[in-house]
Amino acid sequence: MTNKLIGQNYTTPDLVAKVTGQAKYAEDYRVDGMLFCKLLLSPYPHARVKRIDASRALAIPGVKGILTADELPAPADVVTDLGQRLAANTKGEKALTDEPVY
Amino acid sequence: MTEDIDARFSRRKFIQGIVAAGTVASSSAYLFRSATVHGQPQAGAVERLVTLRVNGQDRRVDLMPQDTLAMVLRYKLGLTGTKLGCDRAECGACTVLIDDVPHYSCSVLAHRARGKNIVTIEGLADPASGKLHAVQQGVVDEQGFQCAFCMSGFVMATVGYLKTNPNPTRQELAHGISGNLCRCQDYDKILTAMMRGAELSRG
Repeated sequence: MTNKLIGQNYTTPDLVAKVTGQAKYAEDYRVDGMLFCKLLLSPYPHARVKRIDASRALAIPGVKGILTADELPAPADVVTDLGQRLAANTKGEKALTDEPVY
Repeated sequence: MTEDIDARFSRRKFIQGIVAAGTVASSSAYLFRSATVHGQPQAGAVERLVTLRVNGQDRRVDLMPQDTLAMVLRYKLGLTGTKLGCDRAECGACTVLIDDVPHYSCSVLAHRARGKNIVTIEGLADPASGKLHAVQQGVVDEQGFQCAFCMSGFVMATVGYLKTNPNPTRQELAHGISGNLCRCQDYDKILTAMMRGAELSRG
């Protein structure tokens, strides 16, 4: 039995496209009607979110929507996998619940 | 919103430390771009139609004063072979040649490149025959890259360095292209590929 790849020289299929700049990476794609999102990160190292008023942001022309934690699915109440990360609740301290629980 | 604006101002200050004053954080410019599409240019913007000489072609392009060369090449001229890794002159993925000298295009205002000869990764291969540039051929021969996101920057930096030192030692070339970072940590193989390119370019 002969091997097609092992021990053989070959050029990966996308290499020439990459080396000539023709290959498309995720950021290189543009589609009609494509939306762009930007993350608003916490300006504070430790704080509690009391409320989010997105009305002024939504009023900016071209802004299609603001997504907040309220749009996230409800936290799991059943463990299905070893090492599954548990979310305490949507208003909990996410930084802590992102750690695996052992 | 207030926090968002604060974040942009601090980033702007940071970039001003590295680049000439007046360079605006270009991701912001990029976000504003969609606003211009809808017919609402950013307040105070002066749009000007200028000609840039890219890969031997004169390209007419509508430039805002704060547009970086990388943003213009990628999003206004469609030359996405030039990559934006950090957008703050750290990684070198956006390296292009301006009058044969490698520059971080994320930190060059497009207006400053007027009247100069810009070469990107798309302009290296022979346009008629499609024959790869020696350094590109070196990459293909040695398969020196993994994801290759940093590759166009490395190739452009090497092409530029070889113009000043066509016969470098491995150590000299490593120093010559030390302004480029590879997140795959593939430096040894990259250097082998670039050395192969140098060898091929000497014929």
